[in-house]
Amino acid sequence: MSIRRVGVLLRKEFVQGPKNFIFIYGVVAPLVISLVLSLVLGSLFSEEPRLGIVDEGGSELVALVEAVDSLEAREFDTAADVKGAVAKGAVDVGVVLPRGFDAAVRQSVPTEITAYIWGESLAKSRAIVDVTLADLTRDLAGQEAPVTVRFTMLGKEGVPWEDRMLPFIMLIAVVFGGAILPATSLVGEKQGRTLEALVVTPTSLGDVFLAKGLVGVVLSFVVTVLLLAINQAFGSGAGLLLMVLVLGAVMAAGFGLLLGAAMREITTLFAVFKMIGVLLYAPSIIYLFPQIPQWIGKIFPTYYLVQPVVEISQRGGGWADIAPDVGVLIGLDVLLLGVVVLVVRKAQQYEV
Amino acid sequence: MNRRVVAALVAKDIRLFFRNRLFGLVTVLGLVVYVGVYFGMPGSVDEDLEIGMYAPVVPPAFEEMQPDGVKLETVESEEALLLAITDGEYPAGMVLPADIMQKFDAGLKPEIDVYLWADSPAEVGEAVEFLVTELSYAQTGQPLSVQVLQEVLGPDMLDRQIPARDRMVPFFAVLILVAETFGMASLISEEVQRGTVTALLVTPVSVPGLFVGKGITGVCLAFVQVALYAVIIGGMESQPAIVLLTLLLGAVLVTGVGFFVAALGKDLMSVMAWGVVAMVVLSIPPVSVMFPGAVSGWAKVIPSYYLVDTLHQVAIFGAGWADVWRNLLILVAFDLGIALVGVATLWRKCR
Amino acid sequence: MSTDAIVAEGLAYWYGDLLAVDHISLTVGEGEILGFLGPNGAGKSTTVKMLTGQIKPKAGRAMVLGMDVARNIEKVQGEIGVCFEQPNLYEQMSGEENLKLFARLFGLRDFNPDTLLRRVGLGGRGDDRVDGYSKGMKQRLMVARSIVNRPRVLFLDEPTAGLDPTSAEAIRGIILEERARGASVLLTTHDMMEVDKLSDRVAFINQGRIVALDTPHNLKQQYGKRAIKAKVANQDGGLEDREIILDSRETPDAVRDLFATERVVTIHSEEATLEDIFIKFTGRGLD
Repeated sequence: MSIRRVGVLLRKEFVQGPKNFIFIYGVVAPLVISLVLSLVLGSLFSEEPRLGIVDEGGSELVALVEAVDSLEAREFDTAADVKGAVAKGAVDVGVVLPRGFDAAVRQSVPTEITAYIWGESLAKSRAIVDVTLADLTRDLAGQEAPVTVRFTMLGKEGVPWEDRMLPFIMLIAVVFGGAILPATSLVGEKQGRTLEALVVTPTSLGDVFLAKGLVGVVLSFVVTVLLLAINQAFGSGAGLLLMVLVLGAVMAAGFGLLLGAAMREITTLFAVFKMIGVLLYAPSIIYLFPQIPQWIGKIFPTYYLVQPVVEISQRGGGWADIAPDVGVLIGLDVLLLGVVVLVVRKAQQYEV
Repeated sequence: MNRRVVAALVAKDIRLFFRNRLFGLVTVLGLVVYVGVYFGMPGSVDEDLEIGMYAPVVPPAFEEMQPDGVKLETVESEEALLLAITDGEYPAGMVLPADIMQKFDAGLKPEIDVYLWADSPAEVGEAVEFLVTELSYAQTGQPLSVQVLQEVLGPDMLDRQIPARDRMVPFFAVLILVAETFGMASLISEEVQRGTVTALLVTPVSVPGLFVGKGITGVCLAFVQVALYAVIIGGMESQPAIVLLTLLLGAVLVTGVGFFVAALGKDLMSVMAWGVVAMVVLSIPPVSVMFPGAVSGWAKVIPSYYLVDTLHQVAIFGAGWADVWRNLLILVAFDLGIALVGVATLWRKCR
Repeated sequence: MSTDAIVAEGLAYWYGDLLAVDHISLTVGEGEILGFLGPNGAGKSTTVKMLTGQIKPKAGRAMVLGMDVARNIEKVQGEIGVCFEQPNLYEQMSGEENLKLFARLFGLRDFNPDTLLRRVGLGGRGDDRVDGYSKGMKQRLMVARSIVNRPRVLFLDEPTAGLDPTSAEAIRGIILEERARGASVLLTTHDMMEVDKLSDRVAFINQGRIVALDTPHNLKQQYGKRAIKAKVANQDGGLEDREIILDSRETPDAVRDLFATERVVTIHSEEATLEDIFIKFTGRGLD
């Protein structure tokens, strides 16, 4: 094995890689998926009613509405705009506050306003908008509430959906960059017979595997770090987190190299990835649905990457909390790399 | 054009398609997954905000003036209420003091305890506070000077809301159709690259025959899959003829797109890349069904909009021919246009 | 110690039950071109793979430049160049990039690809991506890549396949230049004329065994037949072929009879060909 030749191959991978769809996909897809999911999830799981409001007379009610948590308020310019938004379902309810609304309310002058209701809005959304508007109008009118409400929170606050999605998104980055890239690169060289051309030079199969593995490690690590940065999920232990990410990237690359060594063509490789994808992503489902027993996740190797990351970034854990899982992760890395070394050594032919 | 030749080409293409492990797997597995996801998701919508209430004395307003969409359900004790909340039966609960009516009558402010489950959506707590306050205002006879007139826009779906899984049906239908785009495009691209197209064209196979054969294969594969999906999930219960026609037109659409993608791509990787772009674009209109208001009017330039909108109208609102004929006409126009472009670009590549 | 560039001693390889190479032995001297001929499936590729270190012999020894290939693979591969039958270039890279990559792998500093590209007739096309090259251009780039490291031993598999006569002649010129430089060449080909022109010696391999190994001249002398070939007119106005073996006792009488009994339209003598010799050994042609 030659470090110099590994460097030459690595340089080739990084220079030529971006010309390859899979390379770009491996970098871009996790980031795009992360963005889309954070946008989508806000809508999918949020049942917060949406109120559209047109203020024709500079009412103070608008500010009051925007300050509450119980609904999401959007201001529109005209009645036609808010009606259009309601008809499309962009908001659940739309109201138009006429000129002089505040004065009328304060003077208890009977006033009529029209609430446009989206036909597909839920009954509870309509009800929440109704009582919220009524209550805030009373605030505007200076009425004093006839009751005092005392709040008590029960149970432990659950993990928000954005945080629950993080393990899944992270695994996409790890699998795409760390596993799929080296695997497709290796299979591509076999199919294109360029591997044959390489191994009749002083370049050894080990050099080739190491270079491709390093590409996977670097990309997986960089994309995962970017993902965590975008999602502001570094927590307090950045150094520990980075170490865990490196170990996870190594595991993914090892896995990718083994698959690349075993497969002979790209379509079969993709088919295998699709089939075994569930094994790679399975631990993230535990975090999506906390009611699933934790121990189930421990069966899957990627659990030992995801769990320490969640522990550090979301629970503020330290080395003592993650040491056992990191130990298993290191063990998995050593095992995978050992198998890769064995495969390389046993290869009689360039076809591995 | 010889029918026998075209039939032979179709049979060959279908055989090759399923010999490709990736596309065979995606086809079968995809269908299983989509059906599984559909039936795994809840089939009904929980429209009401259910709040537990323990009240030794229930003020009349709390009983009679609950707004539609809110259900105050009485429990026998405070302990039972707390248990129900921690068990997830209610996102919140309220405990009214035994002397609430006396306090109201005396013009005093009774204290009402509201318990919130920590995992409840953020809006619930504040909404319950407003609810309690409003009911108290109603009980103490303080009407609001503002009267709200309600006007429902669009069909009023109260008590017959669309479950999330039904909102996702057009999205899955588009995904199933688009998956066939990948398959067709890849097979065509491979034939062009390997030169087997050239080998075919020096036999009685004519260029029109070749394209008709590929077109039939693509349409059949896409249509059969998506129709099967629709049948399994019960999507044919309303207006099956319209649904089938729409799906058929959708199959023609994605086959044309497949031709175009095959013409653009140089190898499997680039075909997949372009296929992903096509998939993303075609998937935008279904997003507008899943998340109403998320996508504005410009989605109407995307052909799949007319497929998705028709399916949605028929399945959810029971639309008939008179309601959807415009969509179908536009879809036909898109099909013809895209098929022409697809065939033309591919023909240029083959020559 | 042998000064031969390539020494195969009892090389054998089998794939499962199939004995692909049956204990063959051959040598290629320094500065020699050995033509390696055989029908498809004869064992040529397997032999070359053993000599280039792609596979380990199951029996016997492969020596290149005095080094056991299996034990000194890195050193051996630093001194050899291989041109494959099927193009295996990085299609998304330019011709220049392909050459530079391999130059770096060989540890060459200050490598200028332009000279090499011009030498193989690709001057000015170095910046173009390989996937835009014609078949002939790819073949020429393959040859260029095989001599990037100025190898002492060249393994060339069908280097002129698919090339027009001019390009093929240019490649032959390069092969001769490499020999003049002192390189030894193992040339695997189906082109009889090429072997005849270039090779110092020819080895025929069939069913995993060397069936003949000598200079082309000696092989033709020993196994070939010289003949007179004539075309005679028949009664229908068509032409028929006639052949008379030279160097035979009956030759003079046969020639006299031919002219006495037939209307000879054309006549010429023909040397023995390597293909004839090969058919004689293998019972089949090179297909």
